Amino acid sequence: MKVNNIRSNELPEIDSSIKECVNLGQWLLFRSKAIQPDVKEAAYFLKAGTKIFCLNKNGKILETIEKEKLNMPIDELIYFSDLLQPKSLSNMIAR
Amino acid sequence: MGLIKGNTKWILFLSTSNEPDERHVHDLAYGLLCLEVAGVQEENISIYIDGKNRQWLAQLIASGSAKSHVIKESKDFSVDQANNIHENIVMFITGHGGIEGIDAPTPITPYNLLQQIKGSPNLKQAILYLGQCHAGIFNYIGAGRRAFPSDNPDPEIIIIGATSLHNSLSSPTKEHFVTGEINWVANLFLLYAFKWISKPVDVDGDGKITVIDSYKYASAVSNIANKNAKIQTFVTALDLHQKWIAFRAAVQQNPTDLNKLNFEAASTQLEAALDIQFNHQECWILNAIPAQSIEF
Repeated sequence: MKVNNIRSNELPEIDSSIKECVNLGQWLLFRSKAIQPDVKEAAYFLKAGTKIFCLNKNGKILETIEKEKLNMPIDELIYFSDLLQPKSLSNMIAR
Repeated sequence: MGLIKGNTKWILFLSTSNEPDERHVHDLAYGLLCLEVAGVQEENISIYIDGKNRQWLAQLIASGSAKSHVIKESKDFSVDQANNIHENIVMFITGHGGIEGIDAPTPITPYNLLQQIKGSPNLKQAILYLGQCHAGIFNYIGAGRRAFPSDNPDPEIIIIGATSLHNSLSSPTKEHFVTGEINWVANLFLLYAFKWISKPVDVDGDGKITVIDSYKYASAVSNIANKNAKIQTFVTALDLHQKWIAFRAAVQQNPTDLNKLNFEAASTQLEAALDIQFNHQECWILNAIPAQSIEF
């Protein structure tokens, strides 16, 4: 499982609030070659709470998929390099 | 001999009545990373996580270790404890909790957990770190070693809780894993307990690295992180509320999939910010006297 940072304009069809949830670790955005959705042009998968959405290469929502299909390898975890990401709490010192 | 070099079983535990939250799996993957950094041998680490998607769980856990680890289910814990061969156990519990106990296919009550551990053969002492909400229901129970019968002593149990009868707190962080940097909403208390184990600090200055030092460190530092998060989210919560109002109006006017998802994203962020604002976390320790002499 690789971790990959992309620019937010690579997925113009979803809004920044969704991308912020991904960057904060509240939702998962990933790629998986093993998931075979019904819609062939699915390029990304977004796990938001208990729902999983198929997105095309621009981020457009295509469909939701069944949870059972989640038992598949994640090839890449995706974050957005140009949006706010959490700071490591390791760097915090007592003051 | 300390816990790390001694005959100790290290347990990472996440039971659930549904599918586990990824953030809780990340909590344990990070714990696994820290245990291995501390020098714990892989054969002494046991991982119990409930959930149907075993391959998915294995992959998330593998972000914490380059070694191969078996992931069992919570129901296996009682079987393993009935056949225990270790003198010590150190157990880290994440997941959801409430007045009914720790969330699991059958909720784990304080009495049940205590009985399982007290009844483990060969066990001399157990240290439990509880990260779940309302962990305080596991306080004020008979964890200490009974004085009688002295010829057949039961295990000494020390329980350390992230919070009393409140929700426990989690905050977004970015930490370096085996597979790269991962962002997740970490259980603050467990995060700092794990960090302490990977790089212990003699907080009380007695020259020993003991269980009580881990409690003091994880409690104090998670409280500082919590205070900082409250300050940071105070203003952002106001902005998030405005966004939430705008997305709510959009979804009411035009309920497309995208508008619904935007509204859900805004709701997720606003609720997280308000959770930090309105929750109080107070860590605690039960059976603190032996905790002062048990060394890592």
